[in-house]
Amino acid sequence: MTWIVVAAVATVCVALRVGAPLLAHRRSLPPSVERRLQAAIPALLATLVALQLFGRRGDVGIDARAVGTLAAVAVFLRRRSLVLALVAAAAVTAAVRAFA
Amino acid sequence: MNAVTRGIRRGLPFACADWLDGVAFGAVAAGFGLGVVAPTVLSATAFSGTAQFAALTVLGQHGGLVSVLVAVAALNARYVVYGLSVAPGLSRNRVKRSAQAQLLTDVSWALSQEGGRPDAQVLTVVGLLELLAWTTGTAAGAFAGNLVGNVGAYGIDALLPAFFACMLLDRTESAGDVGFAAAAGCAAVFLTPILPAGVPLALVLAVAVARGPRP
Repeated sequence: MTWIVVAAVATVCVALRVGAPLLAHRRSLPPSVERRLQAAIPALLATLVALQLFGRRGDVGIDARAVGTLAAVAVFLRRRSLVLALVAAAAVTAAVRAFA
Repeated sequence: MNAVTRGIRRGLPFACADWLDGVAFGAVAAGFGLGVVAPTVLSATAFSGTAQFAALTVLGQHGGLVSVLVAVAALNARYVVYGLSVAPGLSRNRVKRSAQAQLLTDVSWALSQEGGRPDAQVLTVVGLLELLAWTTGTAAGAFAGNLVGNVGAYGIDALLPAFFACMLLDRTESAGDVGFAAAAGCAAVFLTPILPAGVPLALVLAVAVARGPRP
């Protein structure tokens, strides 16, 4: 399963990067489709966050990772740094686990 | 200052950040039991943080392969636009052209556009720096993650939702977007116990694409 997922995801990523420049003289994605895909991204990302945090079957509730993610959001809004935000997420999650 | 020096100067800070992001990805992947080789190969070929973190969600049983591939395509559809915009500046040789296109990232694309006409040398230098940093970072993170063993104790399992949350903050501009995104997330959570794995994500994607852009 691991290698199927690796191969499939890599193929999609390479195709998206290399496809357009190779076929630049032909048609690519119609602009309306492109705009629709772009518009869907926030909902997609929100769903990935929600499923990560609360998507485990029969296990809906707040856990340490949710607190860590909130910390990452707070840091990212202030500093716009992904690295700092991720460090905050890990540190806060570990701290909540250690003291809760 | 020639294009190579300029590319290194401008790209290096981003490459450092990529290395650290790569470490985070490698550590999370190790937490999913993927070892060192698979995450490193994925970083060297897919070369896309969002897509790779999304791939981990399939491996973590949160989604089906097809819905994640559609999600990866939506998250990376911008590369089609980047590719079209740099196409006039790339090599005429098809192999070189493909290799240069494979080095497209948000940063290498943006830096290659600075001169007005797309600069293939800047794109190549910045993209190579980032690819090198991202791949070696992943290997280092996966190696460390495997040594550490229990990633939960260090909060590393929180990196995945935190990463997607930060990407979300980067992408939402209007209040309508935030409301719709929140509703989509809630709906997916409530549908998860009822529907097969992967279907809630696919449904959200279908509804969001059908909804289309809002003015």
